[in-house]
Parts: sequence; C-alpha cells; structure tokens
Amino acid sequence: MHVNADRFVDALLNHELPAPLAVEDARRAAELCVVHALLGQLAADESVRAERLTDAAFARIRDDSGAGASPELARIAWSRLWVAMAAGLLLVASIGIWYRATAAHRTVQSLAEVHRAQGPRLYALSVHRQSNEGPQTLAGTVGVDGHGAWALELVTQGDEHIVLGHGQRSYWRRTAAGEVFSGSDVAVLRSWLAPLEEDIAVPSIEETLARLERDYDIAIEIDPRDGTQFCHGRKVTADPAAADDVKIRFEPAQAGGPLRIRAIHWGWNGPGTDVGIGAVKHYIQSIDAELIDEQWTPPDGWFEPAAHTANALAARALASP
Amino acid sequence: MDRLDLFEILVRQHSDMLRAFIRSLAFDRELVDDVYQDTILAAWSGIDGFDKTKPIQPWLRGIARNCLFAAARKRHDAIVSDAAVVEGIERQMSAIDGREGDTLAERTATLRSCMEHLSAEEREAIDLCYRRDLPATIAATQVSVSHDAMRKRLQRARSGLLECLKRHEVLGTCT
Repeated sequence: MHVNADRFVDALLNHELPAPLAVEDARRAAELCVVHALLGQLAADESVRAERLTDAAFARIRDDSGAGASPELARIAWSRLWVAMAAGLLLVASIGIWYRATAAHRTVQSLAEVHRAQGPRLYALSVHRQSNEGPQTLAGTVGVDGHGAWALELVTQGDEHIVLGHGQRSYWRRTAAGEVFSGSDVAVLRSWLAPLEEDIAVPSIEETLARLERDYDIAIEIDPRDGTQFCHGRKVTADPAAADDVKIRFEPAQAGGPLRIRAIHWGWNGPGTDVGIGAVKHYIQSIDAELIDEQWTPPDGWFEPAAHTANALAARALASP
Repeated sequence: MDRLDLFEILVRQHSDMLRAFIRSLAFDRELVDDVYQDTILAAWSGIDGFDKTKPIQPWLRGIARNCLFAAARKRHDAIVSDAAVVEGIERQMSAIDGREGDTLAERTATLRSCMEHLSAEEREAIDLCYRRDLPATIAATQVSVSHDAMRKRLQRARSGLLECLKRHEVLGTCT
C-alpha cells in the first residue's frame, strides 16, 4: 500500500504504528520527516530530556568501565596498556585537533564575586574559551534580581553580546550590527553558573506570587491547572473593571524538584495587547497571538514596577493606530 | 581531560542533531529515547572505528540507524522502513551538517523566521502538538476543532515550513 507523504508524517507525529508503508513521494516524505523532526526539537522538555538521557548514558559508560575489574582483567589490561595508551594518545590528539578546529563553546570559567548583599546583586564573570580564532577571554556579568530571576550576559571580543536568562531554553547572541540570533546549546552557559547555584535558586511559586502581589498591590487568583505548563488566573485590583487575565508559565518539572514559575504574561490595559514578562525578552502580542514585537530588555528589574510600566507603555504605543 | 570526556563533549554538542535524526525515523517517542541512549553506548564501544578525518555526525547517524533497525526487529513497524525515505533523510541531514553553526538549532535558525509566516491557526497547531507535545486529538479538543481539522492545520504548517526552508536552501538542496 502506498500512502500520501503528509499522512505518513501524521503517523510519525501521532506515534502510530502503521503497517509497513511505502510512500508515494519518497523525497517529499523525507523532507517532511526532517521538518517534523526539527519541530520535535522545540518541545518544552526536549533539552532537559536530552540532557537527562545523555547524563544517564555516560553514567552507565563510566559505571561499566569501572565495574568488573579483576586481577585477571587487570593483568590483561596492563599487558595491553602501552599499545592502548599509544593508540589512545593518537586518538585524543586527533580528536583534540579536530575539536579545536570546529569548536565554539569550549570553556573553563572563573567567577569573581563583586557584591553579595541581599536583594539585587551583580557578579563579574570571566570566561576563557577556546574558539576557532584561538584562546579568548569573555568578560561579563551575572545579574540576580533578588527573586531568583537571573541573567548571564557576556561580551565577546567581536563586541557580540551573549545573553542567557533564567528559564530560557535558548541563549541569545546580538551582533555588533544589532542582529539577534538564538542558540540552544545552553548547557555550557549554565555550567558557568555552577558556583552561584545557591545564590540564584529560584523561589517557590508561593514566594513569587507573594512578591508580585506585594510589588503591584494586587491579588492574583489562580485557576486550577489544566495539566499543561500554563496556568491561568486573574489579576484583581481595587477597580474591578481593571482586572486582567494572567497567564503563568511554569518551568518544565524537574525530576524530584518543585515546580517553579518561568514567566508571567499579563493581560494589560492597552487595547488588544498582552505583555509577557520574562527574564530576558518581553513579547508583545495581540490578543489573537500575533507577535507584534519581541523586545530585548535589560535583565535586571524583572519584577520591578518601573520596568513593568515601561513595557505597558510600549505595548500601548504599539497597539495604537 | 580523558578520551571519554572528549567523546562526551562531542556527543553533547551533536545531541540535538542525533535526536532529530532518530525522531525523523521513529514512530514512537519512547523508542527515540531508547535508541538515542543505545547509540551513545554503541558509539563509545566502537570509538576505535571512528575515522578521525571525517566529521562525527554521519558516523553517529549511521550507528543510530543500526540501533533503530535492531530495535525494529523487536518492535515491528516502529520505524520508517522505506529505504528511499531513509536515504533522503540522511541526505537532508548531511546538508544541514554543512550549514554554519555549532548546533542543529543554529544551523536551522531559519525555521524560526519561517514560523512567523504561518497563519495564526497553523502556529497554534505547532505550539500545541510540538512545543507542548499534546496528541493531535487532545490539541483539537483544546481549540474546539475536529481531529481532521487539526491534522490539516498541521499538514499545512509542515508544508509551509518545508517550502520556506527550501526557499532559504536549508532543505531540499540536495538531489
């Protein structure tokens, strides 16, 4: 039986197990399969899932290589050691050369703490990395806003800015010419923050909501969760007519870890606008989800009323005829 | 840094490409995860067979394909078995390998701008079924349309993205 290429990819998406299929147009089917696979990479939990699976695979490799060692095995291993070492060194050297030639994110980091007071704080970060152009040092900062939201910003020697914010699955690279690109290889960037792990712990949902209510003098009523990563609610103020919808986005649940808030989208008073507040980017959308603008914003002041007002004004301006 | 550390860095650098390749061939999400891990283990076992003068991505994909076929022997019909399609996917992935960028996401960054050209309904369908990973039937219920309508939206979205990626020569440039 021959099936249509689109139907074929439907089966992939729906995880159906059809009978062995022959496709009418193999070339188109292959292209659609690749589109399907690229879209699959966008899943909210994909990077976490991939990281967890990779961690587990390498843990098993390391376990296997460490287990079962016996005197007999040790003797055999010793007798082969010199040959293995020579081959290993050659391989390591070759991979190393190839690796250096193709790499962009090979780094070690050093972190200098410049301020460790309560509330907003700023750390200087110095990253030594091996790039195609040779060793480089990137200077930057890690800003923590006092509520657990943080943003890492580095400046390369080519005056490019690399930014990764709390809750973001992609980092952002802004060139000197102002072009913005995204990249998904955030594991390396996050590893630079390891020394700060305790300081940048994200507060609980209750703490975050309490802070929001205190800062904005509002009450937030939360609807029961619908099983997705979103939660809806209402921002209630003294003026009932000014009440707005609130959409809260959660971090993908970590195994064994508590759920955290990733971003909050306010339905703002401007006609037909919705302003999302995230650690790095603000999205301004119409009510039918058309993207009006994506704004790069300073990472600090995520929850600060002044920043919120500025974004609301920007949204209103964009929404005005 | 030992040999395994280097190998781990390489695998992590190409993990998104590897998972995308497996996902393009596998019908079952659990199978994608299983084969991904099997591929890493098999690649490490066979690291001595890696030709260092060649890029690592096609080598990893070759191992992944073998792992998929091995899995398919236990779970019939769980993977794309049409040889022409499999070959076509490998060609497209090789073409993507050659694009500028360190990760798959960087090499296919055009996908993001292509999404902006989809209709709101199509973007919503992508958001529900891919970003939020909902089954199409559930996604259809959430936006109060029939399953067929949701399926059509997804088909139109994928077709639209394919045409856009072809225009930007991300896909379809190889024969």
